Parts: sequence; structure tokens; C-alpha cells
Amino acid sequence: MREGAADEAALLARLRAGDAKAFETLVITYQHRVFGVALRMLGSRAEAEDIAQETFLRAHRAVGEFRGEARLSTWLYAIASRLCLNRLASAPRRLERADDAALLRLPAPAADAASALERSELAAALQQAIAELPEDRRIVVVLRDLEGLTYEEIAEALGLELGTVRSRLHRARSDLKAKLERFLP
Amino acid sequence: MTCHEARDQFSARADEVLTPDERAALEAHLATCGECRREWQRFAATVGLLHAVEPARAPAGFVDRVLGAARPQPWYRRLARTVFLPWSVKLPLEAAAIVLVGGLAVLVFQRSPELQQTAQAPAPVETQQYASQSAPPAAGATPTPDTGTRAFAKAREELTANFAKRATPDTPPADSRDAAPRAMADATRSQPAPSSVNPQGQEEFLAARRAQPAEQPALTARAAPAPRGATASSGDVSPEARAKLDEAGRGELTRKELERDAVSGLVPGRSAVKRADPLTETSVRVQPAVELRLAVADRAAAAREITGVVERLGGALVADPATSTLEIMVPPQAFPALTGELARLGTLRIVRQPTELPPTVRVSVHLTD
Repeated sequence: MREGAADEAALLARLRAGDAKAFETLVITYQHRVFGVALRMLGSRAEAEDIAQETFLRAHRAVGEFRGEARLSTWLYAIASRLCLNRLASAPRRLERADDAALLRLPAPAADAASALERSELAAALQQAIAELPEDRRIVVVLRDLEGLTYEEIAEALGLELGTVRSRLHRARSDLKAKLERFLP
Repeated sequence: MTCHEARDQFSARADEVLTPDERAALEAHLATCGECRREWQRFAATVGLLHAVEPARAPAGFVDRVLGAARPQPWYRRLARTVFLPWSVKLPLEAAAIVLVGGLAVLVFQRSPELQQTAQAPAPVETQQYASQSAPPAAGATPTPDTGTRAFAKAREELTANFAKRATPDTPPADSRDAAPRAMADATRSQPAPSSVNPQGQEEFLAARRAQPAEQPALTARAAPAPRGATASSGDVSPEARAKLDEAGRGELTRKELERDAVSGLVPGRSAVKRADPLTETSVRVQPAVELRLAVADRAAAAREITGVVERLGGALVADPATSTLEIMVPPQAFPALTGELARLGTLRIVRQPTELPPTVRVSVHLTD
């Protein structure tokens, strides 16, 4: 799914040249990933869209300052993560957002209609468990397990040491395991 | 390896980032510890669950909205957004603010008679300033000299305001400084060193005297000893004028009376004063805007006629029987009517007339045979 390194370099060059079409390509390519991080972090579609839009607008303004050492996606994740954490820190938030169960979906096992209810329950529980994670752990597990970033990319996006990423991820997964105990074998 | 140490490695094992040594040690522990094996299964299931979550999708139209927001807007759009958006909040607020400010302005204007007066005729404040300056020279002669002086200022102010209101509501009042020379004679006598006084203020003061001629002889009389002409002038004061003068001195003279006196040209003893020092006159005389010569059969009759005409036209007139010169102040719109009337009385010759008439036209009419 990811852009190849050559494609990314070409896209970056066009972006720096102020190519409007290149910016459109950037948004189309990364919109779901950026929106996904914001949605998992904030638990609200409206806020997530707001943050995702702001992420792209900032990238549009600051593309000249982007050195190109990291991947474009990592850079966008970094902007989005920072915006999310700032938003979470700026206002007290409701802890539970489980009423909006559609925020997180689990794929249906083949022809297993009987477990549909259980599956949606599981999805809701997972969503709740993620929402209840401390923010610094939540962002790591979102970037790693939901968005598929490597440890190095996470460390770069969040400005953390690799060891810190590793330990936070371990704690986040352990927290989730504890909360999802009844669904586990 | 303890169970605790082994479980700390679960996350790294799930991501396959353990070193070969770490991995070997962990595998050895799991092979021997059933509890940790079960824990590992649960841990792996949790991570598997997370990996199975379907990726989120940005809402429809997201790309268009981002591109629209990134596109630079023209300055007037940005300004309009800043000023008016959100419409529902800012428009009512702005409308309310405009109504409020407008209402307050009207209210303040209505509650302040001074403002209304100023709008119609800017009050000549210098007169009062001069009045206080001019008090000391007379102080030695009379017990309360500045009371009369202030009365002059006040009377002059009222008269000027009234005249301006009647003539041209939105223009400055008639400047009657052209009349200064007559009173200047008084000033020179009562003040041996007139140069020590602000000349402009002096002019204003003299104009005040001119506008209220009935008062003039009184000051002359008070400013005794007068070297020449003073006796004659003070002797000319009629009992009526003296009564008014006293009234004015108390600040009780009504505007109507003052105006009537000014219009009828009640100037006792002025000619004597004027003749006493003609040099002073030329030094301060302000030329009238229009100078006319009117050749008539009977000057006295013509003067009476003109007095009537000027009254009808809403102007003011000062007659000087000694020189047969009439000085008239009329609003510009009445000027054509005035010249028409004058032409009817005799042969009218326009000596001087500006292309554009001032807000109050001062006309000097010299009557000849």
C-alpha cells in the first residue's frame, strides 16, 4: 500500500515546488491513515476530521522545512500525533466513548453469523479498552498495531528512544489483554 | 529466566524483534512453564485482535475539504469571513452596535443644548477672554467694571447666535469687526497702551461693543477721564438706552431687545467718537464684502427705506448719519433681493462685490446725492 521510495521522493519534490496536484495526491494517499490515528486517539469522527485536515494544512505550509530524512508518512504521523496529544492535553475529556461503537470494526470470520453479536461486543470492548489507555501508551499502540509503523518510525514520529517505544508498547498491550480477558482463550 | 522476565519479552516476541539469545532464553522458559505459555497465547491473541482491526476511512469529501481549505482565498473573502462569520452571531451583534451608537449620539445631542447651539453658531469664546483682559484698565474708574464688560460679551454672543440662526443656520455668525473703528476710539482713550493687549481679542471686544451699541457710551463714561469727545458721547446717551444698559449690565437684557436695538441702529454719540480718532479707525477697519454706492434724491428718506427693506429680508443694519454710510448684514440668499430693492430707490452702483458671497454678507452702502 505504501508509496515506493522513488515515488515518495518525486512526490516530495513536486510538493516543494508548490505543485497543487502533488498536494492533492498527498491528501488522497494518506487521508485514511492520518484520519485513522486521529480517530483512534480522539474517539470522535468530527474531531478526527478536524485534526486530520489541520495535519494536511500544516504539512502544506511546512513542506519546505521537511528535510526528507524520514518517510512522508512518518512525517504526517508525527504532525497528526502531536496535534492529537495537544488536543487531548488542552481540554478535559470524557473517558468513555463506547456509545459510538462504529468507530472500530473487526472483520467477520468466514460465514460465522452466530458470532456476529459477539464480534461487535468484542469490537466495542476493544475500542473502550484503547480509549482508556493513557495517552502516551495509546499513541504507541495505535501507531504500531493499528497503523503498522515500525519501532524506529514510532520513535522518530514521537521523538522517543527506541527502548521507550518498546516498553510503552508492551505496557499498552498488557493493559489491553487484561481488559479483554473474557474474550481471550 | 523468571516468569516475570519472560512475560516482559512477550511484546518484543510478538513483533519478532528479540535478539537470537533473548529468543532462545524465552523459548526455553515457555517450554517449561505452562502458565507463561497460556499468558503468551492470550497476549498474542490480543495483538492479533489489534492487527485485525479494519483500517479507518476518512469521511467522504474529506480530500475536497482539505484542498478547499488549503487554497488561498482572495483578501476580500478573508476580510468578509473575519467580519461577518458566523453570520448568526456577528450580524445581529454588529447591527445592535450600530443602533446603539446611533441612538446614543442622538440622545447626547438632544440632551446637550450647547451642542445644538454649537452646531448652529459656533460661540465666539475669545470675547469673554478679552473681557477679562480688558477689565484692569477700567478697574480704577469704576467699582465693578468687568460686570459691564462681561455683559457686553454675553449680549454680543447672544445676538450673534440669534442672527446667525435666522440668517444661515449652518454657517458661522456674522462677523461685525468692521464696526470696530468706532469703538476703538473709546479703547484708545481708556487704555493708553493698547498694544499691550492681544490685538485679535481687542478686535473681538470692539466688535462686541459694535453689536450692542447701546452699551458703548456707558463704557466711555466709565473710562473717564476722557480727553476729547467723551463728554459729548456720554451726554448723548438716551434714558432708554441707559436703562437697557443697566439691564445688560445685570445680564438680564433679553435677546429680542438687543437684536431690535442693533437692527434699528441705535448708536448714540458714535459719530462724535468716530470723528475723534479717524486714524485708529483705518488701522483696524475690516472691509465689507460688498461695497455699493446709491445715488438718491433724499438721503434720510432712503436710509429709512433701506432700514425697512433690511428688516424684511431678515438682516441687520447699522446707520452712520455722519458719513451717510449704511452697513448691512444679510444672508447671501437675501442679497439679490437687497440689491433689487436698493436699485428701486435710486441709482445703484456696485463698487466691489466678490464672485462668491460669504455665509453672511456684509454690505456697505454709501448714500450720495
